[in-house]
Amino acid sequence: MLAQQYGRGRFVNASGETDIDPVIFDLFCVEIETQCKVLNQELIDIERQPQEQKPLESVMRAAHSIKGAARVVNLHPIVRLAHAMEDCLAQAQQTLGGMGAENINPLLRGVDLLERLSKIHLKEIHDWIDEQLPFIETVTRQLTDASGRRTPSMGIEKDFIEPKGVDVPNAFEVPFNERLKITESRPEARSSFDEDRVLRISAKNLNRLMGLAGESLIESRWLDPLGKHLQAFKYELSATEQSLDQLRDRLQCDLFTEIERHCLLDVHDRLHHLHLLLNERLREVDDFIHRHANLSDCLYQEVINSRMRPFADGVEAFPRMVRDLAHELGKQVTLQVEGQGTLVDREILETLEGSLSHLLRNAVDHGIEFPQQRVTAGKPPEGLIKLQARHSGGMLSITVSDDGNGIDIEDLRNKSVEKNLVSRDRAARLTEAELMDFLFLPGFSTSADLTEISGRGIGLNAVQSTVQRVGGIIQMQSVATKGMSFHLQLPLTLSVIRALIVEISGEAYAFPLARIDQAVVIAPESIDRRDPHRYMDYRGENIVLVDAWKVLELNEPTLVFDQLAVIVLSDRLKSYGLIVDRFIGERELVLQALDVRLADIPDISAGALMEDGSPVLVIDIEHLVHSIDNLLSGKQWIKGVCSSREETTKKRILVVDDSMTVREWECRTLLQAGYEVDTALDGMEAWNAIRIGRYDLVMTDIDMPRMNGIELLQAIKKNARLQHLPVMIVSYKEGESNRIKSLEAGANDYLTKSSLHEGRLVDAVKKLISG
Amino acid sequence: MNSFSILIFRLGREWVALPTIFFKEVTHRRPVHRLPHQKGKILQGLVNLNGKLELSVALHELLEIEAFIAPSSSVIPYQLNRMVAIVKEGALWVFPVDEMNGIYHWNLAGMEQVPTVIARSSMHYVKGVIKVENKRVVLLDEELLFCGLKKCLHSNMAGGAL
Repeated sequence: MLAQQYGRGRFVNASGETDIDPVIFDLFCVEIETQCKVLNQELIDIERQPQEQKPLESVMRAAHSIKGAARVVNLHPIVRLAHAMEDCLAQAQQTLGGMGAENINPLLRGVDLLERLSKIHLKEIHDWIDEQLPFIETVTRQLTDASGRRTPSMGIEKDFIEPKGVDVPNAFEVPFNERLKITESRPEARSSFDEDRVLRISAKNLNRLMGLAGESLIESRWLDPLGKHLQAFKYELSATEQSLDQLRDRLQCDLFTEIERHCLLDVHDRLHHLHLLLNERLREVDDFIHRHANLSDCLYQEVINSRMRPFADGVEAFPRMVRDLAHELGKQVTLQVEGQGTLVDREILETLEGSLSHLLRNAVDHGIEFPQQRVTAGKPPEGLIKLQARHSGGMLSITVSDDGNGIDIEDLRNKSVEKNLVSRDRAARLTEAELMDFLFLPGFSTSADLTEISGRGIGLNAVQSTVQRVGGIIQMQSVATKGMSFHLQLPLTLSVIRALIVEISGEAYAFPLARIDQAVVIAPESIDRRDPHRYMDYRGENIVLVDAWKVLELNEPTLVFDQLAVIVLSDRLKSYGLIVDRFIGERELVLQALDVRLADIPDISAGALMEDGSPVLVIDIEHLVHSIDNLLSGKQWIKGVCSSREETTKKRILVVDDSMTVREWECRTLLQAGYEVDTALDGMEAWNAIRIGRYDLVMTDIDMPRMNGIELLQAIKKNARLQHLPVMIVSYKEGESNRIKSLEAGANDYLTKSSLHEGRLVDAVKKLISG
Repeated sequence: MNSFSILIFRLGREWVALPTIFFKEVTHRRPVHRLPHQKGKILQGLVNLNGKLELSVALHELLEIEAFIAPSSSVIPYQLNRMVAIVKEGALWVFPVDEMNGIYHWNLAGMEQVPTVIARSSMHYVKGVIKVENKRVVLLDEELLFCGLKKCLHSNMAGGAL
């Protein structure tokens, strides 16, 4: 009884309803998620090697933890489910080697259910449980049947009532008011996770840490010159000492009185003392500078590394997926993951998950043959898919390979001709790699006759574009009847890029190295001037030259160099030469997203800081090529803005309404009638806007949060500067009293929304502001 | 009750004040990187504040205060040419100031109203005029200031699109 009271007592809210504390619930979800990963991984191992005891122990621990956690949040059906899982496992443990598909399958179904549960929002959790209850009970029953034991009824089971005390995971044993300390007490619960357990940290926090670590590194460089200055000071002091010595030697000693000699000695001693002191401090400062630089460096590296996760983290779900799919198809497949410890950027890992899963599914579905076919072909009945990750040459390289049927290259050759992609002559000359590229074409495989090849093609186009989006490349190789493999070459991280830093209009811009064709310095004489453009020769082709400052609509650079620094950029169809002021050099940059308030700045993808802490903007090359196109055809970004001349002649109206639909409708109607329109969501926002802006008319609703229309009207009419600003009320309120109240408060017109149409609105506006 | 803390700084020839709670940092000036495709005067560009790129604005442009370089005076150098970060409801803005004066406690009762008929639209941002150590200081209305900055950025952005 104790456990129950303990569990319930804490979460009873004022209305007497049992509810779950949100913080505890979050912890519960994380716990479930973590334990499900363990279950998924280990259950597959158990299936392959039923005699192993170690994985069995860890799944039991996981099931037990889930039970304890579910009990704390009072999700009884889940407690029962976890309990049944535990029972099922305990049974298997007792009857050595008693773990078969009949046990594994319901266990995995239970894990699936729990995984879904961990993604449900707190508000919906009870509804979800109610909705899923029949399914939960079915799985529980299957587990119970599998364990072959008579189990407690679906009511409250014995285990549930009896307090198990210390057995419940520590995290949830912590008294309510101490829940902030929960993270500290967690390690005791599962010692196997301590060191490498994953903590949740928001991207924002991590970015802040990166920024600060970078700043600390930059600041540490300022100490260096300080040390040098002190050094110079020391030399100066030595020189002074020497001068003094010379002076003493020159003056004849016997001319000195006792007092003078004493003074001279005193000065000498003091200088010497100063020298020693300075030496000491200098050594300390030097030490400090080194230590600090070192620490800042380590801190910076560590923070950057914290964006990295072991490859294993992103592939946990795959063995299970491959197993399930193989079962479904009646095939035998093992997935072997190599390089689990390889560090990969979190973002890349997340982005790639879909693509890798796609490649694996393809391999199971179309690569690996059925057991009999394999045996006939002289292969073992069980197919092998390898997923390998490693670092090579500063890149992350991922390989997905299978020992299946591969692709018949001659088939592919015929196929490309059939699909009218190449002529028969040309097809005959294409290399294997060139032919393979066809598989990446969208829709290459969507023919009616689904062959081995066509199956491969589905979605490969999507995989390729994902890989390219993160700045990588994908290639494939096939050996007919022996299998095929995909090689992905990816950057190690998305947050750090190598870039060419250039100066445009006197400021630093970065061009990602992966996306530029070439950077060349050319003599002005080699430019071919043919109106309206200038051209240069690039690999035997004439490409158009454009000034970067013109594309970006910056000021013309003040410095002119003898030689022209040109970056060659291209999209699929065209190449351009972009003239920049000068090249600064190649750098590694840590990217940071631009302030969200900036919306999208054309041609810029991110910002970064140079090693001296000055900002640099990173060019979005795809977009830039597009902007060059626009520039050459005479379109520019800023040109679209109304000139100031137009602005002064147009009347400005402020539309105030808390309904977006009404606001948009009024806004569009007035814009069409040739007015300039600004909008505000409520009276308060409108009042702020009116005081700082210039408007010819205010059109406002009455019922609004914060400050209503009548209050706004009164505020305007009370203000000496604004009292002559016409205000029009547009309201749903039909009653005459509202009209009178508004007009008394100084409204210049009162319209009701129900009788409103475009013509009427514009007429009323015209009446108030002529013109 | 009516006393509050304000921070006084100079833009051009004008002394300007804003409640101290809105200040996040006062630091040395750092280079501002302009943004492409922008023609507005108020958004200057991006500046590095503690390792993060923040929006830098020309407050003197918003308030229509003429730029003015004061002749070298007895002012302590670290008070000159500073960069200030202000923040309200998570929106942070950095702007250069010509001189920092200091923090004062000010009693609301001692504030003069702004003359109502003033041609300069910058006066819309002014809550009142106060006297501190023989200086005439305009106290900004924080509500309107932040709202005005947001509006400027918004119209700048809207103008930037084709």
